[in-house]
Amino acid sequence: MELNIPKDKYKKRADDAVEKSDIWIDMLKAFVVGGIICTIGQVISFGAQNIGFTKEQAGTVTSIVLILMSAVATGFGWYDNLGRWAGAGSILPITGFANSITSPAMEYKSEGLITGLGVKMFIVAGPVLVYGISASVIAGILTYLISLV
Amino acid sequence: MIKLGENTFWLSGRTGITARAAVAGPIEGKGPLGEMFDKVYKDEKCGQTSWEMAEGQMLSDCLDTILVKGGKTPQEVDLLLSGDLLNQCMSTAIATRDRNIPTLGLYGACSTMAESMCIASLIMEGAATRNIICMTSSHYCSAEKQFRFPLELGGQKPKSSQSTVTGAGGNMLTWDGGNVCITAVTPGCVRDPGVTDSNNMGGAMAPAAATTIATHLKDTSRPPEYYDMILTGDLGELGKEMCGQLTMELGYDISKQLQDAGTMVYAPEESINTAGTSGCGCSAVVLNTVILDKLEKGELNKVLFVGTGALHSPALLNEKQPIPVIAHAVSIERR
Repeated sequence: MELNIPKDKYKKRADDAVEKSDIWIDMLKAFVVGGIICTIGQVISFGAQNIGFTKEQAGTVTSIVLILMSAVATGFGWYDNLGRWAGAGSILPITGFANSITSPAMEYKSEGLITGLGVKMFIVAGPVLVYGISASVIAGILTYLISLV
Repeated sequence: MIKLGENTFWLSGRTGITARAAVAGPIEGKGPLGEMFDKVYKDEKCGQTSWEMAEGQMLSDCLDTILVKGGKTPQEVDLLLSGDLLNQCMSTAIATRDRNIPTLGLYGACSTMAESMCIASLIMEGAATRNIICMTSSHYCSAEKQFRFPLELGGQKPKSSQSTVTGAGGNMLTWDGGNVCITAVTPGCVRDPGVTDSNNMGGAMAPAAATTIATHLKDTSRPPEYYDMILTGDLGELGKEMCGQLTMELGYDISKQLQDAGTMVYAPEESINTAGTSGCGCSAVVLNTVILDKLEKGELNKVLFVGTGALHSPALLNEKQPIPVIAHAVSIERR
């Protein structure tokens, strides 16, 4: 016995049955959480400048501190709960990037430090690194060529 | 045994279920089936060092419990049919190593409990076997690791997604034993309904469940009312509704009988953001606790158990292929 429903029609039916989340509420949550993370970053930056770092150095200090905070929160099992609520608000900032590297490292530690953690650490962040670095190389070459003209 | 209609094997009814066991993780333990589990683990690691070993431990404990409850030594078991979700059926290998029981490993994704009972009852009818054990397991953490993302990755899942049950369940089939027996089985065909959304497994599996149920009812000339319950494996809220509609389109109104194991495992507060539970362990722990218990006590008399499986592979999905699905039906009745 077979169902006489064309595949594209059934796919649409199954997709339509899925309850969509409210995009406005999602955006509001992302805005609030993303905003809070960025505010924390700004506070760290000002603090660093206050104790004598230059503005450029303070930017580096901010990244390091935020990454550490995110990695620690991931280790304690808090960041995934935040991400479930905030969505893009906690995925997009640098803390989300740190979370995407720390979480596979934790997951694959059981398979060994080299064959597990070392190999699998970048399964989520890998594409960001590959295409991010590629894009910056291309942008660098273009900038150089334009400067020649 | 005779072949009936399109895909159904009509059995003598001499294959009975003589022992059953189910073990589960802490979240499942707090759910409505909590009291009925043979063992509830305090944490997801089950005293092991990795998620894979934890799942193997659960399946191993399940096997031990079946042997104890059935009063059988490993030597008295003719065959063990077992499968799970992990690559190369890892948990089955861990749980059955050095057991000295002939073992056949199965892969039917979340339909494995029904698949193993189908195969076991067919072997029983045809071969001189006395006792066959059927069992399966799944683990939320090992399944997420293999099929989706690391556990601690902060992301969102749509409401149609289902959580894999952390648990193992199984039973022992004995020729001429027990007061609950298997009277017919309808192995399903692999379907491809074209769904590519891995967060909507219920919607993907519904056509497989509907066609298997309709085929079984047609082959056996039984109306849906013949059964007290038609229990699907892990369609979840969404898939259950779609299965009901599709079966109606095939000419059978099963709205009064249709229940889904995926909606029975978690306590209501755990299942707010999901469509229910899934995984091999889902139908296995529900069947081997509350359903068989009610059959044994006579609160239910006839149940059609329909294990549903999404034969989902991350590689296939990356290659933009739809999710193949399957469902097998086992007719379980009180003698």
